[in-house]
Amino acid sequence: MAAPLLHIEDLSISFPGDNGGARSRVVDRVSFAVARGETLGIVGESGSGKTMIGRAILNLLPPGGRIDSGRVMLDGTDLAGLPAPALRAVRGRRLGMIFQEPMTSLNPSLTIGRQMTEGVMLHFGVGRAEADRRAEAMLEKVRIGDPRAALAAYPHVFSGGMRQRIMLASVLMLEPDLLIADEPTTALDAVIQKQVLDLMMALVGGLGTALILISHDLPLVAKYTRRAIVMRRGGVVESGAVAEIMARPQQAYTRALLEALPLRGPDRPVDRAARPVVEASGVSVVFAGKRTWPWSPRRQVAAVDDVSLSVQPGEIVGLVGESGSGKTTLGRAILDLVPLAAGSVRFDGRERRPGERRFRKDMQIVFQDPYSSLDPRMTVHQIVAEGLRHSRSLTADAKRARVADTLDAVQIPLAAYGERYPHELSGGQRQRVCIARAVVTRPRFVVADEPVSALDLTVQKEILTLLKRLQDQLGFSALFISHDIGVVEEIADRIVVMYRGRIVEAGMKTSFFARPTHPYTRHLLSAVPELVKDEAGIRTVRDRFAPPVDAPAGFAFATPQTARRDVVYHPVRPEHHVALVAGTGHREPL
Amino acid sequence: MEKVAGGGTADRQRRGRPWFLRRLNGMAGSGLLAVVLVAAVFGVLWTPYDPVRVDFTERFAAPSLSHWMGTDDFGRDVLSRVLAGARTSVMVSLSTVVFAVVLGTVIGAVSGFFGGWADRLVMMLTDALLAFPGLLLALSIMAIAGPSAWGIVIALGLSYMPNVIRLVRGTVLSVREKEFAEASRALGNSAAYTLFRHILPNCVAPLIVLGTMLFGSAILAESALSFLGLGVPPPAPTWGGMLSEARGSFVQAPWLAVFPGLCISIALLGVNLFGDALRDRLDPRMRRL
Repeated sequence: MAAPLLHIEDLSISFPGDNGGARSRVVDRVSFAVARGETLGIVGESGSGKTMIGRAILNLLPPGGRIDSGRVMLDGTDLAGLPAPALRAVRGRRLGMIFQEPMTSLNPSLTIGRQMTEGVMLHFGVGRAEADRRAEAMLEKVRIGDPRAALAAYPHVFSGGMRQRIMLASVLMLEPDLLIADEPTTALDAVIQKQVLDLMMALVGGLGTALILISHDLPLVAKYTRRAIVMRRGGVVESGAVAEIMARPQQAYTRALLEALPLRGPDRPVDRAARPVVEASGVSVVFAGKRTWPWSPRRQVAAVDDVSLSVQPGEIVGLVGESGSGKTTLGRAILDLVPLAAGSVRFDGRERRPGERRFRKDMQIVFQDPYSSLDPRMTVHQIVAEGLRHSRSLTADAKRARVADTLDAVQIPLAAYGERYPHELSGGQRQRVCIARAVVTRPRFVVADEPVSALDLTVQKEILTLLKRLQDQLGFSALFISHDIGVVEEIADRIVVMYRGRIVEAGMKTSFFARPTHPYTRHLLSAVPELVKDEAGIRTVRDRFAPPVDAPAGFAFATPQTARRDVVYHPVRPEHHVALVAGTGHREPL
Repeated sequence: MEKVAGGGTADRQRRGRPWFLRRLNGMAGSGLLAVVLVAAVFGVLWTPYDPVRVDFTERFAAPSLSHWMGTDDFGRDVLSRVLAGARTSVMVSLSTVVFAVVLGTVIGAVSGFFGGWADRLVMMLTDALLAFPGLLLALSIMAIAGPSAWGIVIALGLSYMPNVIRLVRGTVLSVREKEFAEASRALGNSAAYTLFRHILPNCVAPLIVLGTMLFGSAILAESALSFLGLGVPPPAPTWGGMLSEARGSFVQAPWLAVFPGLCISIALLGVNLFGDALRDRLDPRMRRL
């Protein structure tokens, strides 16, 4: 092999410790090499130091961070010792970087064109017109609809996936030798994630750029890179060819990372004839937009449009859809956290009036973001105990015991954690506290709104297991909302797919995954990799199936023309329905 | 409370001390503020002479061992008057801040939390009030109410209130969108409980900082009003009033103006430095790395 493009030797990075203590090592004696055009994955959980390696390569460590030892050699030059001007010539031009958060990595007050051309004009010394021309060509390559208009637009008009594609375009426009992508798609929906990554791989392959893909998701890395290193607590646990790591993981930690991929849960008996715990019929939620002029009527946006959904006792219903599909709004509407524009919600057979608080303790919610869903000024004990404020029948002792029991059940023991504040807990621990707060009243129904999408894959697995166990013990029904159909497959008994405020397909798990029928469902499924074990126990990751090439006629929402037409639900099997356009005379789907 | 941010080297050397003694502005600020507060409390309990006793045998005595800060044109002891004036200044300024913060917080919180027409009305009124210079507004209220300590409190309080309302309303608007506020609703808590238990406590930090800053300007504004003859009526000693009386005899007896003036400066400097230190600590955006 020729001399590697990037060679990292014995790299150690440290940060100042808390309260003036000893410096803590976040990266400890890590070595690896990347050849020209090669793809390397760096895998590890939050706090494993993987991000710091990416930043150290560009010499962009956060304040306080320091390279203690080791070298970062790019084509034989040590980047760590390079003076600032020489370093600036390398950044962007030879080393490109894409960050995790597409919402903040573009400057909101500059046009896309100005931001994209900055680098070309600096590094290649080309003029404005030439830079614009190159930017336009690049935007075309990342499949931005109207590149010329996009150049003049500001970042806020683009969705997260589009922004990340724009970032990709502006970084790759400089044709760097190495692209460092730090969790580039973690903030995105599963479908968008696949689109962006597929695009990135195609472009990187075409340019011959080497790639370092940093992620907490081993199966994802396995799908996109040839070689990988697995990191834990600053050290390399395992490294080698991806196929080899997947087939024969040497370390228990690597196996845990692999097995964190959601698996289909077992079928559970659910009494379908019983009276539903929650029954939403014809629910619509309308948000009032801005007025164009003070005297013109507000624009109305239907987030949820005539949706009916019922949840049986003890049943977990998985609600899947992309961002903006209305799934979160539906969950909140059922809990009376947003007002209904039409329709009704019945709880235990009785209709719930808006603002009625007596149902509250029977219907609870777990939120997506464990960082903003806990009051930063309250202790864990106060947060969980607050749920029992309205349970007047319990004595103070009984309440205390209930809080202790519930915290035990989520493995946050009261004695050890009761007096801590949310900022002293990790993301996974916070989510456990959120779950404890939701189940402390022993609700009959829980809405779990993307409870795991902000978490690492391994923590996600733990939380899913915890939710399943609690559901088993306490017997509540649940509406589990997620953009990731794989997660839903693990936990739900019945799957409901939402798209643009409507339900497009709903069915019992077995039937649903055996015959996913609506093109949009198949699209969602295609984005989720599946972990397969062959007879020899060798694991490989593969796509479930290719997304549909052309949408068959008759399905509601399959094409823009069918989006606003009347919908009828056609049974695929018993308890499995798919949305069709009314009046097209379409008979048996597929 | 929040965790102390890991700071620079100077910060680390002084670890173990309370937060306000770790940086220069905090140390100087809290020291000066302590001097003023001690003087105010001390002035209530004991002064060397009766601050309002007139003694024509001792007119315009220069600072000496018997009268550390000299005497004025009525032979009153300046040190005693300065100590008594500290009490007036601190009491009036403190009452002003409490009045403005309490009322402003309630109005701002309700306005931000419930929104709607009440919010629009409150915002219109605060905008109108903010359009007047604070002192001018206070002057006109004082002119109507007549000079008295409570008149100053109400006049200054009303002119400071728009700042508090704006701040609280803004913070409430952002905090109420957090998911923990929604979680509180989902638990069945009333709107008022959610507002007071979950939302307001998260507004306290910026409010404390603003309150400290307002305390400083209240001291100055009270002195200015007294100077203009619209403050606490004589013979009660106030720093501003003493400055005003000293005008005529400044060349003859400069100590009459110097000592009260120095007191105002010390108090203001102390409060502002302390407020800076407080903001450094409580407002993460201002926190240095």
